[in-house]
Amino acid sequence: MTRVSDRTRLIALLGALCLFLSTVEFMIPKPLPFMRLGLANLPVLVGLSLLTVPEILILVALKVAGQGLVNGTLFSYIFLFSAAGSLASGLVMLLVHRAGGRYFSLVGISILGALSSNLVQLLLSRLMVFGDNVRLIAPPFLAVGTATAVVLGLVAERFLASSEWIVLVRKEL
Amino acid sequence: MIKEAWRRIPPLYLFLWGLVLMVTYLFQTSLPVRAGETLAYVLLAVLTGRRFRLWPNLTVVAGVTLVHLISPLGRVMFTLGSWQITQGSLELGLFKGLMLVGLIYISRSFISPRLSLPGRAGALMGLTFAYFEALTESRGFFKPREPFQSTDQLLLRIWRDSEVGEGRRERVRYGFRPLWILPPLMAAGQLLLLFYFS
Repeated sequence: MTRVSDRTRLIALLGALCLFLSTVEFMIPKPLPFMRLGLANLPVLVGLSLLTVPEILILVALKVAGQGLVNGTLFSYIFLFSAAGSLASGLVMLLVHRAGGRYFSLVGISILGALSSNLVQLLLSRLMVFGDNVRLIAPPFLAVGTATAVVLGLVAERFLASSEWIVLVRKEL
Repeated sequence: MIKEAWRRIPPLYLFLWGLVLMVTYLFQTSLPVRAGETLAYVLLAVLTGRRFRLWPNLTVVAGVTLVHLISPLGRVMFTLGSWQITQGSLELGLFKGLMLVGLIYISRSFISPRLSLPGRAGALMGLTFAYFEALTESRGFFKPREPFQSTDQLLLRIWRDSEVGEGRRERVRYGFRPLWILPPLMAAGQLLLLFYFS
């Protein structure tokens, strides 16, 4: 059997962590099904400083496809919303991290990622489900997204600063 | 029994029939037929062992319908104060709400985590699922008092375990069962309903 490279293993483990956190989020009761906490974005935030640009994009693709398979939503609107939102937030977080990483903390990057994801999802809901009435769900949707993004950014910063696993991975890559 | 028999249908076969069913479901324009089909998919998902929760599905349908009721469309059925409840917006809201629920349950029954993709992408997905299994099997690792440390220790343990991903995925023996006939039968039934009611 061919030995899998450490970089591939890292992408796969972060991808698995996305799936695990998305399953955890699935089990948390929410007042409205449209509300998302975005826990699965945490490994992407952590991966920003460990992976290259193509590797981050592969991780986002793994996250989207894996969630569709594990939660069985591949044929549903959830998959389309998740794919569009994840791609938008992944690209924005990458861009901000690479271009302005010195000026933005992970909290800032996380907020910008969440806002871009939420805006793309609101646009899709306007086109597919709610029409112009999407303006009614936009304020709570954006507020929840921003609040959870702040928490996720703080968690990612704390984890990166204290993790022995991250130190080991950085040494081995 | 149905759950076990459904598990023994090859994931690719289910995936392809799921695609056919999704398309014929989306083309249906009759509200009563769509409601019936949605109910059938929920029932199938429950019979094949998928979890069903009433409340989230009800809130999806009610939420979408409520938002549609804001814009009047068609005949006024009744009024609530100055709010006109119209038949067109009620039907459109219900139609879209049911569609969202139906697609979720088509997916739940016809998409399997064992669906394997070819090539390097498939290999990477396989490794990801192996790590996912390792994470889900590690019950009791998470300590609420030490959330960062306990998660970190688990990741360290899985990272150091070089055996993860090598032949640990569950093997299922697929064989022809009478249940294989159900997806094509459903597709044929849905197609007939499409011709008669759309």
